[in-house]
Amino acid sequence: MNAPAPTFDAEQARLAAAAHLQPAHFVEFQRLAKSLIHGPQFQLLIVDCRDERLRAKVLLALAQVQQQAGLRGVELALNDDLSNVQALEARLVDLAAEHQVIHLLDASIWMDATRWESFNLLRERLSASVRARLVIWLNEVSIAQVARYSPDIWAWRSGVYPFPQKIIFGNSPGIFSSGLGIIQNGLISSIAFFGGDEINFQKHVGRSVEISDWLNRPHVPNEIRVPLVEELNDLLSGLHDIVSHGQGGAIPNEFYPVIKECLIRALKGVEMLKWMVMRDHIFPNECSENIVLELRLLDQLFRGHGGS
Amino acid sequence: MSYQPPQHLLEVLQKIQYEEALPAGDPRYVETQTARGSERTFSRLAKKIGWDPASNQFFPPSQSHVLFFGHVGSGKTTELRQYAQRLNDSKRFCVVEVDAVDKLDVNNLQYTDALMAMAETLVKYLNQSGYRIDEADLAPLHQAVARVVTTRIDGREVSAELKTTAEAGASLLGLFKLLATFTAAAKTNASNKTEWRREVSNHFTALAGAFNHLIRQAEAALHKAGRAERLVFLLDGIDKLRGDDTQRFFVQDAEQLLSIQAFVIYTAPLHLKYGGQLAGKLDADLVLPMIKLQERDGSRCEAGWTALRDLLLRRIARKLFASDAEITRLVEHSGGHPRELLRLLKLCCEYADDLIDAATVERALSQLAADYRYFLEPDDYTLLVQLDHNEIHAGNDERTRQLLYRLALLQYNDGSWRRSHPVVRRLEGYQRALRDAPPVAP
Repeated sequence: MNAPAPTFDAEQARLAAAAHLQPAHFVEFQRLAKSLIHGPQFQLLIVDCRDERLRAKVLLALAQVQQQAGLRGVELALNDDLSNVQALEARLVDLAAEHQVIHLLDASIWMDATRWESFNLLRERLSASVRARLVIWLNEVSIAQVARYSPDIWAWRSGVYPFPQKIIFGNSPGIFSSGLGIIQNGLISSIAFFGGDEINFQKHVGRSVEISDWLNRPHVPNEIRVPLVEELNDLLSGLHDIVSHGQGGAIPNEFYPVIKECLIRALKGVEMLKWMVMRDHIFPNECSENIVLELRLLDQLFRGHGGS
Repeated sequence: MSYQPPQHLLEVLQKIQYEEALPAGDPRYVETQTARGSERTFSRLAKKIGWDPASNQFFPPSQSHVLFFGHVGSGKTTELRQYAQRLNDSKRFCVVEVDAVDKLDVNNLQYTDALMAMAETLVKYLNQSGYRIDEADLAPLHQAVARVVTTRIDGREVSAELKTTAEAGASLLGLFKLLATFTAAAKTNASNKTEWRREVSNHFTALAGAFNHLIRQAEAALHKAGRAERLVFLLDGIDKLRGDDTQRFFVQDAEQLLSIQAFVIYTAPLHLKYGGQLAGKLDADLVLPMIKLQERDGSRCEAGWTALRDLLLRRIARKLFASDAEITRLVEHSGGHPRELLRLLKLCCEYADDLIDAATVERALSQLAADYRYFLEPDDYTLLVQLDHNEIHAGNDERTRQLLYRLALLQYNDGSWRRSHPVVRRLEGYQRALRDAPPVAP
């Protein structure tokens, strides 16, 4: 028997949207999107995501999927405009009349033990009058609160979807190190090629190289590595933004597409490093040669344009 | 056409609804009595209301108020609906099911509301089924309820329609309207709810007496029609009351509940049974046990495996599993809890593309275990290890009750023995506690 009819486009959208996320988040995103599209009308989906920027990215990707699946989505930020849980219930009932997906944001701040207890009592009424997929965005601590103070909500959870920001380093320091070396070479090459006339661009690239150098040192504790990889990721994203907005100073216009390509590749490289360590953590025996291959391609690209 | 389980993973996913209790006759229902070790549960329940199903002997007591306990999501409602069917089929009983969740506000429920909802459901049933009750026999309850719902609050006038109904002669339809007015107020938390409750409370003896009279007349009518001899009220959803309300309903207000001379079965949360406050006022020894995958001595309970496998294969076509090994592994890690088995199935559907293989199952198990990691504390693991290795049921403290409530700890055979949830045993916290535990004496 074939899959139910409306799934093809939505499935395509699900896969396409996931491609914009970090590889480490592919699986959870796919799970979440699948439940949103194909699960029943009423669901209580709990997302573990403490990082606001990551949340924004995932929400954006979900919005594409929802649109393709014909699901109208809405975000409801829980704040002082809502005086209590009863007000929240009334708001949810209103929103469910027009929307099939309701994202509840900032619940970790707005909810306390008392409000979770009150929310617990709404379970039956929610299932009757809010026939929508409720996606509750929380952090780890508040998820524990749900289980403790809203046990009935917890019992009906349709799933918990963790989007960890923290990187878990695996057991492949050699591959990690060689990967960094390739990225660093690429960055140095790009400075040499593009000249680095624009101050922000140069500053960003300089700091990126500095971080790469630090990361490449032996015996760096993981606790230090993690934020540095994050910063490197941010810097490369910033560089990408600068170039995308045409703020590269004296860089000739015709080079912008090439720079963008380089930066996208560099970002991909960082993400792959993260993915690699994640995969090492999950599957200790699986050190993919493809990752190293991809990083080498990145290096070649830089060298091809920068010729260091 | 015979029932076919979903043939595609997305269809399986679409049909997993945790809030759904199966109605009697649903093709997804699987007989679990042997698997739970609860063959005698129905028989015990029936005997509490005077009927021995084996011999068909019937000596009903004047009243019986039975609490039916069970784990969250363990299938209490589904099981009770099957029991109700059997009781109805016996022609000894007519079961009137009152869904508290649907009819009342379980967030703020008192015995007054339950009484009125029971009366409303009974009157509705009698009216719809064409039974006739003399006006004189309806009059006491009609007058008592009319007095409550026509109470003027803050000087406000009672609606003309309600006034007309209240002042008209007693009839099933009129009485139904009056009772429905009360329960609607209780459900919607209307401003007059508190005053009306006070009225019921102030005149409770008269109201309970009038209701008891109606029950007797209804039973006489049912008996005359050859339908049944006694009424049984099944008050479902009471297990969902909040902590304070649970205590008030079953402990403080137990006397009021007992003043209803009828057979009443209440669903009740498991933690109430072990809270030690019920003190024999209500009949509180019936527990719906978990489906057993093993006996207390560790030997395999074949009936449990068969039941859970059947349950699974009514939710998903066999061809969607790579092999039987995946089914076995899912059943094994459900701990015998039907909702946990469905949760694992849902996870598999989320992870798999078109076939559930060993890697998919492994991921699903890890993810379900990770859910427990969110709330388990270091001392919880120590306690779980201790309980897993101690044959003696040494009682319950608050931590144990919380573990039971959140399913990290599951109990079997009416609570006589317990085991930690199999996925919890995969967690590093449990493994560490296991390593640190003192050796068990031979």
